[in-house]
Amino acid sequence: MTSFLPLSVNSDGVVDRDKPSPDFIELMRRQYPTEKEIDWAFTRRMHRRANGPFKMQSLDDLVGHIIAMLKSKLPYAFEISNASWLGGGGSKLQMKFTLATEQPLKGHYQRDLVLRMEPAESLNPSSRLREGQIIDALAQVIPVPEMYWVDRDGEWFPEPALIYSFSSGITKPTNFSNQRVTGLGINFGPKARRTMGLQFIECLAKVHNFDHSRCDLTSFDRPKIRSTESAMWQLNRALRGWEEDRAHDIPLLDIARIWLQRHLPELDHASLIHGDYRSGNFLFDPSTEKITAVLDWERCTIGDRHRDLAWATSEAIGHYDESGNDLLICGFFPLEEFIDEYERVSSLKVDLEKLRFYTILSRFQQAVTVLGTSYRVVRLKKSHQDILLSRIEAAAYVLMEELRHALTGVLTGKNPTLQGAHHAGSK
Amino acid sequence: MPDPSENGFTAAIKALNEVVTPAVDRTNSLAVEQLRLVEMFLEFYRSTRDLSRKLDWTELNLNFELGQTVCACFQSTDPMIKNLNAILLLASSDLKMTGLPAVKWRDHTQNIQEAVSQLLRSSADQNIEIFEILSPKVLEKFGEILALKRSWFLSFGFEAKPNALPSLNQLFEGCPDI
Repeated sequence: MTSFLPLSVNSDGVVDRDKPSPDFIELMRRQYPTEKEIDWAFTRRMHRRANGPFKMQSLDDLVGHIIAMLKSKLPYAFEISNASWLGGGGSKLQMKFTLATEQPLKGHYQRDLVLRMEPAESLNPSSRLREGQIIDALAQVIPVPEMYWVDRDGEWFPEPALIYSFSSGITKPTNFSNQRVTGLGINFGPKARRTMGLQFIECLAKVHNFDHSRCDLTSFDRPKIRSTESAMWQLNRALRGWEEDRAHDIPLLDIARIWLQRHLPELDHASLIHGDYRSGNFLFDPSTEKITAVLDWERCTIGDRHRDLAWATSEAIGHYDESGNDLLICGFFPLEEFIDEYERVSSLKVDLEKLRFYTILSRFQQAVTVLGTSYRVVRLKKSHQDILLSRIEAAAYVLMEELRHALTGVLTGKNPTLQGAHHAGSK
Repeated sequence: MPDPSENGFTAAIKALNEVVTPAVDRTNSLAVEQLRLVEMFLEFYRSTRDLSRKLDWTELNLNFELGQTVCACFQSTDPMIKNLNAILLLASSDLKMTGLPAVKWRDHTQNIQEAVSQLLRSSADQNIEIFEILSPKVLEKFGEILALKRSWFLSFGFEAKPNALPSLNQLFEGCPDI
């Protein structure tokens, strides 16, 4: 078993996570092996951590960077217009703009695009190259934006960025007032619930069944089937984030770590995994109730389908139905129906033991992201959305309650439900 | 006597609502979103500032009980238990001092949690039976600690069943007049 030791310390005998030493960074890399591109993203941010706060860019600055990049990439005349900010995201800076070109064969061509750029540090240390590659691979499979360019290393932009097509649609109904203020727990309303829920599951099933073996996914490592590698990479990614970012120890999270390390499941089928598959991360057309784009692929990986399923079952993401009795997963179906529909549509089996493991892992990942990484980003003023990240600290306690409930189930045999809490307020 | 910060909070929220917000370009969704959050934080701190010392005291009291529960699972000669006992002794003394700066209570809470974490790790590495006895007890006590935090942050809107949580008044029962 690997404990959270040893650590580099500052002159007060405390681990200095604000100014990590090269030794500390290397120790984290060795102690928590994960995929190469993820290691690159974590290592990059730690080497740059002491560089100071994120400098907010103006729209004009970003347009200037786009023009500089396109001059090197497009052999014909172009024009950028209509630059505006996009809100909603907590992790990446997003700007919408129009690109108009005069191409020798096509003539005048115009398209609304989105620039998606990292702040100095974000909620999820991740790779724009991975995000670009997976979106490109799924272009003919489910509704996703069309990929244009990726700047993996921040060669053209102040930070790594990608540019893809703008997708129309909304994340939550505007004509239905029963919404939580957070953007989580989206209520699609009883009428649209089943139609949209089935599309939500169909998209996930297509992603999980997609044959990715011949795709250009060079920034992904492929875990071995019948090994625990996939689960270990996921866990180590979370542990590394917690170790590099947290303010202090929390015993509940130590119990979770120890249990997870002792119960890593084997992988039976290597699927593409979205990583943050939930309501709020897809757009839909309210007039047709059709999903128009699945977004936010920054946690994508190749691994175990149970991870996506478990992630989506959080109480913080769903909401209770009108009777107040049934938690609707992502606002669509009660848990059993959600699993039944997934098995029916995907023809992939759901292993309840694996779902239990990935439920505990998902709540652990969510809690350490919110309580560890979000804390550090805000403390060091590293993003354009510090105030939003500061607010979501409150979600950590909801997620930890779900984690506590699930752990109690596996450690004592009490509350052996699959999901987390679903019993708000219980002790 | 009126609290002088009340007028400050009220005026700041009013300025945001009536002057700043209408002046912001509605198409700048990032600015509109952040303005709403600034308003929310001001309102939250305005409405909770008189209770924040009770939160810190109660949180320490629950963690003190957590520490006592953990101590009962070990031999008192264990060096890590000696460390936890020393932390609990200081915490116990400071829980009685109702006029202390709240940062002292928060520091004790952190120290207790770190000592309990150390014990969990060491028991998992060296004596899994102790870990298996200890962890359900820690999980049970954490239910109360988390209920306190969730109730405190209720207005942030992350709870799926907000009415099922105990009120802060219930949670602050037993807290001295501080």
